[in-house]
Amino acid sequence: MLTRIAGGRILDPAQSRDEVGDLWLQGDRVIAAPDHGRADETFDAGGCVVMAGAIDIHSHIAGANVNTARLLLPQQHRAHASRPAATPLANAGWSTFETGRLYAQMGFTTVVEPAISPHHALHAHLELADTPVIDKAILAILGNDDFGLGLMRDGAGPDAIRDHVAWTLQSSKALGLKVINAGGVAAFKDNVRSFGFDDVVPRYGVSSRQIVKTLQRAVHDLGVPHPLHVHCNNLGLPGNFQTALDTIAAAEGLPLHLAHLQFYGYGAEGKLGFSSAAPKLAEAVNAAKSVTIDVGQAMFGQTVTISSDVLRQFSARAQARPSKYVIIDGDANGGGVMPYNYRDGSFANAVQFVVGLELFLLIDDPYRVYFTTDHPNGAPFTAYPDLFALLMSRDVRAQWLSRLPAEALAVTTLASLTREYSWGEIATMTRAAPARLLGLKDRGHLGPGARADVAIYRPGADLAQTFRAAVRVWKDGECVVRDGALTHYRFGRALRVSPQPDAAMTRRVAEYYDARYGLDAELLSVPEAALPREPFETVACPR
Amino acid sequence: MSALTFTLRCPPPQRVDLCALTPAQLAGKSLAEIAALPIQTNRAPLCVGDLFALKDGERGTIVFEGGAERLDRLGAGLDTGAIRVIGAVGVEAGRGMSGGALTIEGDAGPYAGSGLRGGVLRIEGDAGERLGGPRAGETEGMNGGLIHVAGHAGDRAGDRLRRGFILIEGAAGDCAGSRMIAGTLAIGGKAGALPGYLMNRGTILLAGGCDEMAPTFGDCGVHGLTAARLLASYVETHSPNLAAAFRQPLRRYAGDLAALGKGEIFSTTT
Amino acid sequence: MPVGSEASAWIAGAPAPFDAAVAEAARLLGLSAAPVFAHLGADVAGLREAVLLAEQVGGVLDHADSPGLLTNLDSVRESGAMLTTPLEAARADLVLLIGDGVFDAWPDLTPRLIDRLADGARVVWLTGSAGGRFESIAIGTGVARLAALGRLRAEAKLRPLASTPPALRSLAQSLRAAKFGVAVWSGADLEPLAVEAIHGLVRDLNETTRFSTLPLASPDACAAETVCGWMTGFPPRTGFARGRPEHDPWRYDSRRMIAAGEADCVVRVDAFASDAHIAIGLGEAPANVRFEVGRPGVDHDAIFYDARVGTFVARPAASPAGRSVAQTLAAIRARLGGPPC
Ligand SMILES: [Zn+2]
Repeated sequence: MLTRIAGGRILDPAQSRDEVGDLWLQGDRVIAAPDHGRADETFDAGGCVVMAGAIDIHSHIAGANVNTARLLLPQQHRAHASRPAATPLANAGWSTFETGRLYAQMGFTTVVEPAISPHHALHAHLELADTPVIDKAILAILGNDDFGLGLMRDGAGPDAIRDHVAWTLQSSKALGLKVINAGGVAAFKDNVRSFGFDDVVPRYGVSSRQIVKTLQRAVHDLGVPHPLHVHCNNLGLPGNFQTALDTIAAAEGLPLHLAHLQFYGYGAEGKLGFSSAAPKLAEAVNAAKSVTIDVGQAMFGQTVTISSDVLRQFSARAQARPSKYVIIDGDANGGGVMPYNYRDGSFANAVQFVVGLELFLLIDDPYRVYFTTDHPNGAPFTAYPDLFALLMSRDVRAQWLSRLPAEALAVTTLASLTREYSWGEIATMTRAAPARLLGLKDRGHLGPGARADVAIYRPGADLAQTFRAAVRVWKDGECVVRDGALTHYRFGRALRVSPQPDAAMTRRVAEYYDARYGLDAELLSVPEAALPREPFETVACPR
Repeated sequence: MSALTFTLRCPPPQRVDLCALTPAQLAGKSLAEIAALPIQTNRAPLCVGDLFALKDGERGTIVFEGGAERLDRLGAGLDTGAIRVIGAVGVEAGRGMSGGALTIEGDAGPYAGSGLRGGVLRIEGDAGERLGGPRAGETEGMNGGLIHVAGHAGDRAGDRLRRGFILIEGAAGDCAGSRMIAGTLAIGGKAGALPGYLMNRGTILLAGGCDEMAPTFGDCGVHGLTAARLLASYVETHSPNLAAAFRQPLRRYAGDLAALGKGEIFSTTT
Repeated sequence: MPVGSEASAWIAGAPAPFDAAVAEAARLLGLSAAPVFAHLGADVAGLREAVLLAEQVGGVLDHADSPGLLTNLDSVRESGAMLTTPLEAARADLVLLIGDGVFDAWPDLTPRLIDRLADGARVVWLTGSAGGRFESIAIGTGVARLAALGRLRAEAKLRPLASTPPALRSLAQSLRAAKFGVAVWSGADLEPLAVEAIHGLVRDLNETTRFSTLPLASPDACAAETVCGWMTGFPPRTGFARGRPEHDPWRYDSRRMIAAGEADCVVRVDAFASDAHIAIGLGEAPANVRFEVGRPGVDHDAIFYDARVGTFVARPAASPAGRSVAQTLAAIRARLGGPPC
């Protein structure tokens, strides 16, 4: 099957291409224009923008904590439409099937679920296997587990830590490693209720800083493309920008990714003791070239926060709206699920909204700032189209700002920022940059040999609508979205790295599971054969 | 002009969902359009006209002649106007009502008045369990308005009541007013065991005693209470009987001390 | 699972070829106005196909153990909860068992939890009537249990009540003194308000210490809850008659529906029974169509819920044989024209 996408504006920052022209797909790949090519199918993309499929590096779409949120909130996701005949369960509110459909319709073709406890990796992969169209991946969580902290406490060297990380990535079939409030959740189990970057975990004698540095080094040494993905301490607290600054400084030239930086962009200025510190953070990020961040933009409306930062979720429990929460004070990180309503009339929520936009607009390099709402923590991913419009249009921003409390604007600089993201910067931030960050060589660009994941948009006056409903989306060369609607299912794969586990470490882990739990460690690993279809695709670790 | 009338033709062959049949939603619809509204809850198609004979009339008032235990969600979402049912109804009668009046001249099933926010729900027969209570995953039950039951009510009447009045002339089942957040629940007959179990705030009147008082309510003695007299004047028009009970000397219990403990149960002393 | 040429499918009690039984099952489900999946005992793949088939035929999904499951879930989703996992619970210094059914719900409770506690950890059992194997306090059931749990919660809030039995007051003090306490019960065993009272007690205790809960339900009900959750957004007692999932624990109670004559075709999937089977019939019994199916993890590779870890685990088959629930239900759905999924 040879497909020609004709006459669109081809926007491919990875190849420095921005021109009106044709794009050719054959099978599941992009190919160079054939000499005597007669397409089996031609799509007239005149007036449209042609981009690679978008990649979301941080969106909580699957796994035990997400499913707990579904079960906790039956009133918030009732289905309102009957299912289309060709796509079972695609309209079931908040089903994995709906998740795949909605992402595909926005032109996203790869999504990373960033917080999976290794013990619950199989559950997460089962949900991802039921998420149609998109490719996906998990990041495995360490940094609060007894075995890993035990290694650090006992002074095991970097080789042992690296081997444990390798074992974990292999066992859970993950694309990378995440650390969430490093040491803070372990400390929570000893009734510690606040925990900073240089605080020391009881019983283990290691600080959060040491944990982050140790795991950062291990990920780097293994050659895992995606750097350690860090959820810092002190999320959500006034004055916490200092924690983020300290963490950025601790990168010390090695790659480090800071998740949802918006939630750390808070000063303690102003008469309410809460202000934007986004300019300070942006300045630090601009200077620290080895650091990448995603924003975790907050948008207004009802949502639910899902986080493995149990300490933070527990501390914030009084803010639940409606007033209920689930804290899973379980193995290693556990999880906390809490419904929350961001209100545009709320001073604090307005500051959060503004901090996110400031980070987007003040960080210069679109290769180092990533487009997320920390779905669903800042907002559901269905808010992305509105967020694109906010970044690309000063006018749209002005309209939104006019609804916010004046006191909130007074503690920020947003009104003075005139930057508008270009289409090219959007394409960089959502395509070229995440592919580079995750080590996905055949995604995020449209050069010959690229995977034929293509999204086409028709720019209109309503930018949000433009991004909400892609005109066409191809996944692996198969057209799956027409005029903003999913036509049928196909199923993508889960991307993973596959570092060679060390035999001695495998034995050591087995002994640990046997002694501590009386279980075979293999019981909690993800066996490839157990999952339907062709479940995984391995991403190379160059080292 | 008489009311728009739905006369039940036959026992319903399946449970039916009648939430579409409120004055506001039927305004402007022809009789034929109304007859064609789907009401089935299983795969067998069933329209209003299949189950009811329709007689047009004044649209602000709707009358159902004949009831059945399978008539669900009757008057759910009612906001204006009046609905009168001559007969029984199924689950969730008047669920989420925000105004108007729903009168059931017969028994109502479980969850009648669930999440009521306004208006008046009157049940002339008995009410099933969880009168006014929340459904799956909801953190609040009734949040305003008034429910009046002439007969008895099942277990956990007024579960999670947050605002408004529930007046039960007859007996109530176990754990009436369980998890109450606020509001007023008055029971004319005897209540079952543990009224007010885990209540935070609010007021429960027991005019006919109860099977067993929870140990987590403290006896504060007998009083003539101003607050109770104010409630009496409020419920007077709906229930002279319960109003009279509120005016009697009342024993006041404070609780539930297992929960917030700022609720009170008034019990008549005779 | 019998071997050899014995039949694995039956129509009206008579052996039938698999394809004929699939066709008859599809015909019955296609004709049915109100098909009800009354039990969902299956591995993940089987549950997945059951959900898809239920959507295809506009049916209702329930599980025989839904009452216990929903008793646990309702309190969580209406009021919230502190929860822990079986592996973490073994780190407790105080385990509070509640109700006589706790060992029925988890037969391995002793080896997996009690025996793995550290030296010096304390186990207290609030029983119905019997004296227990552990330090136990009989608090009765029903209203008596509610009253006792309310009393315990008030005492733990330091609101002493007249006539609280000394053992209960002393327990309240121990709960407050625990460094990590875990309350364990079976949803099938307790009154919904008892579960509500326990979660409230645990919330209160967390103001000053670490305390959590491990509510138990049957493993295959937990699996059904989880799989239905990600596929439809809702746990069982979810119906598809109107073309979209609708969750209603009262209306879609399969026992109530069958008793009230609201179901006209009943599907029972039980791969964990000794005679692993799927039965499809117009009414309780006998089944009009019956399939013998393989046992998950024995006759075919399977993923199922493991109470030891509180999540899914995979188990390859020892010696593969027979058709799985998933294969059988998928064949029926394909026969009905269901699209690939
Ligand atoms: Zn996140």
